[in-house]
Amino acid sequence: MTKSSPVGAASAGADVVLRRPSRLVTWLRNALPVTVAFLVFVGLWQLGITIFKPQPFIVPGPLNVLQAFQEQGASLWESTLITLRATAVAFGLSAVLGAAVSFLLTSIPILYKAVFPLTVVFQSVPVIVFVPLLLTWFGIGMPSIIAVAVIISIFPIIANTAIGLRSTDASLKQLFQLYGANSWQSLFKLRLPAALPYFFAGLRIAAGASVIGVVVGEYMAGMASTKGGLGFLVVETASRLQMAQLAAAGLCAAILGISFFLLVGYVGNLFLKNWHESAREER
Amino acid sequence: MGSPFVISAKDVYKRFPDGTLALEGVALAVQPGEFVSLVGPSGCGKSTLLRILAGLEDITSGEAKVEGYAPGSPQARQEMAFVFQEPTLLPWRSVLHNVALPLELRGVSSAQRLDRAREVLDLVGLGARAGAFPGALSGGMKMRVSIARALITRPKIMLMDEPFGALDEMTRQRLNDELLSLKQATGSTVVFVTHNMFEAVYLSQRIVVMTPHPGRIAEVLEVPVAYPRTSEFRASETYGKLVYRVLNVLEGDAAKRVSVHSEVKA
Ligand SMILES: Nc1ncnc2c1ncn2[C@@H]1O[C@H](COP(=O)(O)OP(=O)(O)OP(=O)(O)O)[C@@H](O)[C@H]1O
Ligand SMILES: [Mg+2]
Repeated sequence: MTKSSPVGAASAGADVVLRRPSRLVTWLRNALPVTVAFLVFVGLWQLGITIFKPQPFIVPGPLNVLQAFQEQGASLWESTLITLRATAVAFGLSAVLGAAVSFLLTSIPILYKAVFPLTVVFQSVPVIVFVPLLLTWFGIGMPSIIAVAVIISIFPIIANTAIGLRSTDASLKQLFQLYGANSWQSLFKLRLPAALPYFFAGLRIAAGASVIGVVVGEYMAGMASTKGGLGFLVVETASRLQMAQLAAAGLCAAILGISFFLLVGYVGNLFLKNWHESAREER
Repeated sequence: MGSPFVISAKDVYKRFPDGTLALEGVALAVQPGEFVSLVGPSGCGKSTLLRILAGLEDITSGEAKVEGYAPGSPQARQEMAFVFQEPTLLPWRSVLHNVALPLELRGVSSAQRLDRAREVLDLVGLGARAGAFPGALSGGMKMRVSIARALITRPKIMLMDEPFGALDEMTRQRLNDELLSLKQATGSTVVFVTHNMFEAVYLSQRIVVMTPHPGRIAEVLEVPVAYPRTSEFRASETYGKLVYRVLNVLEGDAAKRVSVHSEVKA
């Protein structure tokens, strides 16, 4: 093949077409609509408050929430850190346990048939059912909180990774067979890498779920802690009808969840940058 | 041993568990260095026969041998490469590491296999794309990577299952030429599946025409034209006659089916 072949010419043309606008412009283009929508929402909210003037403990306004952030900033920050720490531990546990369980399930077909449906049932049981049980095992406090979060966040990891481990391309398997690959080679050079995008998809869902899990856990199982996370703050502020502070705590939890989700997505994209469709930038 | 044939199949029957009779009494003998095509309509058992030779499918009855060994045995596979209809590349590996995979699986050292991978990539004209990932290549380029990967073990036998089926005509013809010159250079034996009779005539020394339901060999045609072949060959009378002959065999078979069918209906 020479440089002047039709293929060469076509790919040179493609480079020109693919030259994208700068990153900042792309980012602005993606972020602008949601930012505007958010500002409009907040504006309407404040407008409603100004017109109808409800009591702040019934419907707090954006300015009340802002004020709560100003006054309670230190305790919000502290609670957020506590929740963050618990989330990190719960997420790590879910990732490791989830990967191990799905690997075990998919490696032994009979186990998969027998146990996988049970994990679905397990996942459908409302988590509050487990709380009394967890409390008797671990007592009130951090271990129970983390257990609640793991229960909530481990399932998407198990389900996704199991699908990934089971859907290795048949032709690729045959390719490995044709070249006499042993089972270690097939595992490390084919099955595990092929499942990686699925694992990361599971992690991404689990990232958001583990923040929710920790907050719910704190709400239900962390009541006696002297220093509490955001869930604890929710209980406290709600009991005192401090709705603005409640909203501030909720906002902190949301920001934490989104940041964690984005972080996990970013790390996943670093891993999958070159090859998986889901990791390609939109063009 | 002692047989002059690289590949031999005698009276091969293949029935799938669902009852489909995919091959009925198929016989094939391929000489060293020969280029043989299997042509026929969809479902006539071309892939099944090729997969049997690769040891990816077992035989219901009959016998097949590759270099005198049972298909699928380590000895038979040592000398063989299989090119799938799809490029079947590992998307998480660069082109270079995809091509090096067969040697990697056989335990060849990293430096050695990567050197060799660069060599075969140059052969298929993709030396400059060694660092690219499959996702960034065109269909034709991916197919060439797949062929480079097949070449890396210096196989004596190449089994190719419609490798160019998904490509446009221009690209296909260029890859046909590349394949022929590679075959000339390496002296490999090639068994090439296609449903394209033009491609079959252009490439092969022998054409095995198959018909479906059940899969049988209807006729074997020789192409009495030496390599290298150029596009002039495509304009020659021999070429036209051979294409016409293949067409005749296949159409004759199809017509027979239609008439049998209408008699049954009447
Ligand atoms: N795993 C299988 N189980 C059951 N039947 C099968 C299986 N594989 C192939 N067949 C049947 O065997 C017959 C031959 O199939 P084969 O794939 O060899 O055809 P082919 O000539 O390669 O067709 P194509 O040109 O479409 O690839 C078909 O009728 C097909 O339905
Ligand atoms: Mg086929």
